[in-house]
Amino acid sequence: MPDLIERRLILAFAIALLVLIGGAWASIRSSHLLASNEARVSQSLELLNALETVLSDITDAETGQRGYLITGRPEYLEPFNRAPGLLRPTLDRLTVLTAGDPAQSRRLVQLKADVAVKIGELTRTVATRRDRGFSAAQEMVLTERGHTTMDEIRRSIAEMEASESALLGRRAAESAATASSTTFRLMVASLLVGAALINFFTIGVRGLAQRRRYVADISRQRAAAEAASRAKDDFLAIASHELRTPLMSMGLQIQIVRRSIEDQLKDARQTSAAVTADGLDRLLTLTQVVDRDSRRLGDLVNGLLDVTRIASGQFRVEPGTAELGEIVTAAVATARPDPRRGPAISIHIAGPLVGGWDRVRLEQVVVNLVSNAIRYGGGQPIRIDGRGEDDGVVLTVTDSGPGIDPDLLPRLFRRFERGTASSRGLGLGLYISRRIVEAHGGAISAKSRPGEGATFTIHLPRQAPAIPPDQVI
Amino acid sequence: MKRILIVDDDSDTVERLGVLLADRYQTDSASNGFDALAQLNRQAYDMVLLDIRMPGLDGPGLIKLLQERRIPVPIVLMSANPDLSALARRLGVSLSLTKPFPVERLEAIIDQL
Repeated sequence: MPDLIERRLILAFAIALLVLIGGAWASIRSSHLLASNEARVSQSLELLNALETVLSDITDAETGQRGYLITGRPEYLEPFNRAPGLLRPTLDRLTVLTAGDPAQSRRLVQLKADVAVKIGELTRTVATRRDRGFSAAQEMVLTERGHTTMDEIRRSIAEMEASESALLGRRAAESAATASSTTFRLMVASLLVGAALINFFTIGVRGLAQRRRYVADISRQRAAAEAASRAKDDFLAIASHELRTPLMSMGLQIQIVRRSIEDQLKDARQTSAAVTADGLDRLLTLTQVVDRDSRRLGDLVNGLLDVTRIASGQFRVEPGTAELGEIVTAAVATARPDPRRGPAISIHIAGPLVGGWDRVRLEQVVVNLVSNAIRYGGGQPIRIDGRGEDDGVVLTVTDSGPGIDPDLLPRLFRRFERGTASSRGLGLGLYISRRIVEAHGGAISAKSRPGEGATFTIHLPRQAPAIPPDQVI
Repeated sequence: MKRILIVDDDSDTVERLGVLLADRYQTDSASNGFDALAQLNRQAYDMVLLDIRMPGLDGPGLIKLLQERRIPVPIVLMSANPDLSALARRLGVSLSLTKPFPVERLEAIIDQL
């Protein structure tokens, strides 16, 4: 979903960018057009102005000449004397202004010629009046040549003005057209950009809505996952309870039967009722098997629940104050309920060794090690040593049995590894023991040489970490 | 002879524990916290063996009530709850037994009291 939105946003952005570039180009182009039209319009206006100046200067010159012809007073000649100097730059400017227009250039050439003729005529009549008097000059004026030339000049200027005015009209119309088309283009560009913006906005809003839905989905999924996790926890608690409760009452019932038989057997022996005693003895043996099996089943259920909790990261130790000697004594009592049976176990704890440990869990570890030593120790004596060391304690459980297969030794503390193919259990005991010791910040290891027994060593810090490291294997 | 009050809603467990402990201890039973409280008001006990999950007033509820009413009696918690030792510590109870447990361990605890 999000990549479709991305594609559409990129497309909309590209379109908007193109439209903006197009709009900018159109507006630059039309302002160039407007500027050049503007220049040409002002050129036309200047040209018209220059033509007027030429006409006015030449008229002034003629007026001055007439005044002088009539009165003979030289001060009337002032405009006439000034005229050539004024006309020359104006005519030069006209040459430049008409450079791009062949028709006007042609007319200008004619105009210049007429102006030259007129100036020549004026000069001659002024000279005649000065040298030969009024009548001679009058004669020259009466030839009408000056008048004709002046008409020529007026006509040329009128033609040029008419032509330039027409051009000016066309340029003004062009400018207006350019301006309006630019306005139109800019309007279209604005509309397109506006449309693109609306598109952006809709896509953006839709994207945000989708994102919101996506986030909502994720939090829903997280809530579902949390609910599932809670359900798993609940299941674990219920499973523990439901599995253990019947085991509890079953175990108790077996213990009742066993004790009842034991009592009757004692009575029977005392009364020398041999036959009954034999029968009871057999019954007791059978019941002992059931008793052992029920305890083993209980241990298996406990072990499986522990492993499940380790796997789901819920395994914790609860450090409190505990003493190693007490833990070992209690563990030995559990692992070997009847001291008269099984191998001899000697306990050597160097003084009270108090630490911040989870008593119940450590006892579980020692029970496991002692049970293993009894099971695999070949009936030989077992020795348990405890001593302080630096800022911790060391506990060793040593048996004198056949030792551990060297191939198995490195895998001993993994899950589902068992001592021998024929050994019972799921192979969870040492794995759970390792996790308990590690949760205390300690380490457990095994040493063995074939034929020379095995030694399990636990190193524990005096204080287990408050928050145990969360290692899930 | 020590007097023990067994509090558990599982009648099989209560009955069988009673039978097993009968030789060496005097036992009474209650099926929930309220029953137990009534018994404790009537009679002094050397120890209460207390389950956690029970209908009505549960184990933690009873412990709280006993603490409020200043009725001093040693308590041993027993439960199938996997977090039993943590729970016991939170409740200020130092002794706990995770079900199932062999009766010898319970006897050892009672004898230590």
